[in-house]
Amino acid sequence: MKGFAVIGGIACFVVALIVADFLFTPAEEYSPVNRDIPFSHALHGANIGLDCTHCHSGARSGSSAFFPSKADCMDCHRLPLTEKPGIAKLDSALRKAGGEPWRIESAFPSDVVFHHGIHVHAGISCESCHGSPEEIDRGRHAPVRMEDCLACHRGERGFPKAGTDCARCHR
Amino acid sequence: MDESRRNFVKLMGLLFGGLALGGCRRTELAPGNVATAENADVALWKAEVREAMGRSLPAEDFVPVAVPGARAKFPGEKNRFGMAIDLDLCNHCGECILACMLENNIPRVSADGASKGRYMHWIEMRGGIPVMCSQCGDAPCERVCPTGAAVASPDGPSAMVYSRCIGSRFCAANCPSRTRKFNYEDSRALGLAAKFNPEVPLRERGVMEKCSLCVQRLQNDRLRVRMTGGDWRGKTVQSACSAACPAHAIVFGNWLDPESPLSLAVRGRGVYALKSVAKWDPSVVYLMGKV
Amino acid sequence: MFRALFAIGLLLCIPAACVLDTALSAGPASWAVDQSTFWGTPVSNFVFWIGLAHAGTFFSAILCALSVRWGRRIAFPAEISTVAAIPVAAIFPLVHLGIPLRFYFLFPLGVVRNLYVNAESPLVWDFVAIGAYFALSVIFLALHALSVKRPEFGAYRKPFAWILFPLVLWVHTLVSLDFAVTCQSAWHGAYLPVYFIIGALYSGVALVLILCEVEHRRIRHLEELLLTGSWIILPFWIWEFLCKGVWNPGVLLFGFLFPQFLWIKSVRNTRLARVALAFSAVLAMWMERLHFVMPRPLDWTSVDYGWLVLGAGVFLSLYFGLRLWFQKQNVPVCTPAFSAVDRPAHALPRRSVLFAWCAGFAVTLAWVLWFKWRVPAMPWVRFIPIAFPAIAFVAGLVLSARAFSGLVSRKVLFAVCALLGIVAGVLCAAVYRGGDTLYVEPRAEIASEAVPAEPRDAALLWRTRCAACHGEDGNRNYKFVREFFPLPTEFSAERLDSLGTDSLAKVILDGRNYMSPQRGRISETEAHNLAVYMRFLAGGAK
Repeated sequence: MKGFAVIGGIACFVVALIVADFLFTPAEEYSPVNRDIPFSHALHGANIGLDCTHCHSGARSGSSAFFPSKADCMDCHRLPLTEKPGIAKLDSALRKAGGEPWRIESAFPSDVVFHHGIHVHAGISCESCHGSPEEIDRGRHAPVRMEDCLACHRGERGFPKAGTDCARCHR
Repeated sequence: MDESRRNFVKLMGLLFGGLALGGCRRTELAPGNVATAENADVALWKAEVREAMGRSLPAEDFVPVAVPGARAKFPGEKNRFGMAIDLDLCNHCGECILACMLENNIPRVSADGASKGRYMHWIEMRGGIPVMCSQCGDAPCERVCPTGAAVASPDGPSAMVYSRCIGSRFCAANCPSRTRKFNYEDSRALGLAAKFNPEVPLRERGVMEKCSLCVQRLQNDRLRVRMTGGDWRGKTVQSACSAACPAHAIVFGNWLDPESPLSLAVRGRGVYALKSVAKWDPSVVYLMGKV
Repeated sequence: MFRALFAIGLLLCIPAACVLDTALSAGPASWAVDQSTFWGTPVSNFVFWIGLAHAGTFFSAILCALSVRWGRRIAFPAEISTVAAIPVAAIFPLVHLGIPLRFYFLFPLGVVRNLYVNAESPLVWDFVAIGAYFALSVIFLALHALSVKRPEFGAYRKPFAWILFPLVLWVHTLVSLDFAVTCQSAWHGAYLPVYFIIGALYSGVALVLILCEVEHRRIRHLEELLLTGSWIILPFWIWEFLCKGVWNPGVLLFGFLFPQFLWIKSVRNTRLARVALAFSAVLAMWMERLHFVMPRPLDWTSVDYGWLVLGAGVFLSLYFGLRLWFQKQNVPVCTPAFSAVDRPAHALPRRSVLFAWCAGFAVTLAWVLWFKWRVPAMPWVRFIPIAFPAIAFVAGLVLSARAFSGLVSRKVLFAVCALLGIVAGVLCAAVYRGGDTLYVEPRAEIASEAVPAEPRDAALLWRTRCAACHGEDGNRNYKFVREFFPLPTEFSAERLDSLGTDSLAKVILDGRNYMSPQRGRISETEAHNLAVYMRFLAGGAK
């Protein structure tokens, strides 16, 4: 009788642990960066022969990947590109945009070192963290929770192991 | 009567809890007054260094030690960074203290803090000799840190992870050389902090800090070299104090690299360490005379 | 009398709350500490109060376990004083932390970031041991109180006392290890655990004596113990003086000389004198702890003095609050004679006691193995300090579960078990996931790449800025330009040579035809380097 109660309590503990852990886990973040300019990664990707670095100039070599400035967009968009109906709307949106339409807050706190280049250098593609262009268009953010960093660095995500000592990434 | 007493007790409980909760509020989240390299007045920092150097702290004892080598904790590690301070060249000018403050965004302290000796300087002049964390190979501070915020890193520096620090100050109580500094003041809110170096984070009130062996320079150099696919030995890295020393008395380098300026500098010299930390395998040593 | 003391306690809680508020909002800067004395008055007050708590357990659990009869008369006040003193003691280390809200980092559980507590640190040992000590002391008191109306609970007292007996010695040993494991020579000494335990018992005896006098009970054994204690602790003080040169006239005066007045019959028969002499012993131990933690005196602030008010206020209101509450429940707190409580009708079956201990061992072993699996570098020996409190905690919980399960109906039992399970699960999950890190400074903003002071590598720059149209090899990116743009002019060594790098750099910076101006995004040096790189891509002899 008492045994059942204790077993029930332990079962409740386990269930509560799992449910609470699930509830406390922050959901993967989805939030489109800028809704003013209708930008689609899917349209600008490999199908027209562009690499991520053409807009994100630091993505393969730098610490920060960077965002394109308006001037970078206008390199191509100063000419009417197609006769599609949406293009007028795009042109006006671009004309109205500020010099740096995609300014975001870094996902990393100031004591964390993250270098895009070194990860690309280690053979990790942009998609491994950021997802496909379609997912990015839906507003998916790269997972930058410390547990994700550590899981990959411990070799649990299919990439080679990397350092896990604190001073590797924290300063 | 009985009812009113109960209400009084309840009221007291609420008051007590409210005050305690009020105390827990996080003042450091308020936007502080942080100067940057452009608008900070370096003269204030210079004045504080002069002020702190005027305290004339007692000199440390030195004992001869062997040249630091590989650490038992990390077999197979190719780098161990450290420094040697040549006491025959040191002219006790204190430039290293200022350079360290500007490199690592070390905040000044308020007048009250200064009167209580709560300077944050990672380098201190003790008897005219610059003393900083010795980056012990087997550091006593790391053993007692309850959360692992003070932790050994394979390539030399004894690291300090600010976001993991709860401020128990056990590490400092167990530091034989007393070179750890505790953030007693909310320097951002008091306008005493400046972000001279955007590479280094500002620390919040209640965390411990200490000489990091300019870990940001090591990390940046490592990333730079690894991007070109090279074998990283930290050949071009120099700590801020070493770069700023007008007498070239502070040599930074890699103990495990025979070509490193550090290994060359200690050749044929008498190698000493602070007596207090000598048995913990320090990476920062002092040079005196010839052998 | 009790009401008056309770009211005084509550009144003292008002300034105490102010002290706590100052201490929490201004942080450790508000009391006497500097960059070479990092542990201040909160630590010494913590050691003092945990010592006072200790004696309560001594008189209830240890004397009960060893079947010392006279201990039963004062067991109740002693137990209440333990339960009142541990929270007071626990306030101090929490306030002492630089960032008190991060105290949960000390839970010896795994967290999702794979960060574990450093089981090598005495602070973690303390956290576990004091947590277990407090929980078990509360249960012990509750069992005692319940046994007044339900004699069957009396059977649990002795097995429980045998759990608390070693635990309380363990706790104070760990407190002494906070100091003994450091490199500070002033805190060294293999005798430190014994010294701390003796000191704790000595101050605790004095406290219990005072509390009994408040109950209008005179226990001569306590006076004898106080005198004996003063002679037992004296050698330690002499030893401290001989080894480390610690010289504390105040402590000797209050802690040793004054209690000797108890030899005089007329003094010992005066109630006020007994209380005063006991108080002098308590004061001496407080001074001794203070001097031990902070050998170098610093200028005190109001917060340092405020800890006294805080300690007294919280202790008085908790002790007399509980005391009055028990009185209201018709629990005889201080009985002149032995009651039925102390003679349980039948003993607990040995099997269930053994089961409790085995459960403690099993759970602790599972936890240690799990920890060792996650942190292989942690030496086995480091688990010993936490292992015993963990065993005791689980064993005590199992015993109390057995005791309390008889109190309630089947439905309530199931509900309570389920509720406890859910609360424990949610708490564990919360600690496992951890809170968000609170950031000191706003995070950096990322926008477009600024032109750096040092020129960037021309090949990398070409790949990011030019290759979209001109192609990685300078041979045009057909896929892109065919669809949208007029084709850029093809590179040829002759053409580039005829233009020259200067005019090419000018085109790069200011644009021409369909070529967009890059000024502001590329520096002049970089443009020049790019022109050279174009020439390299075009190949051929110059």
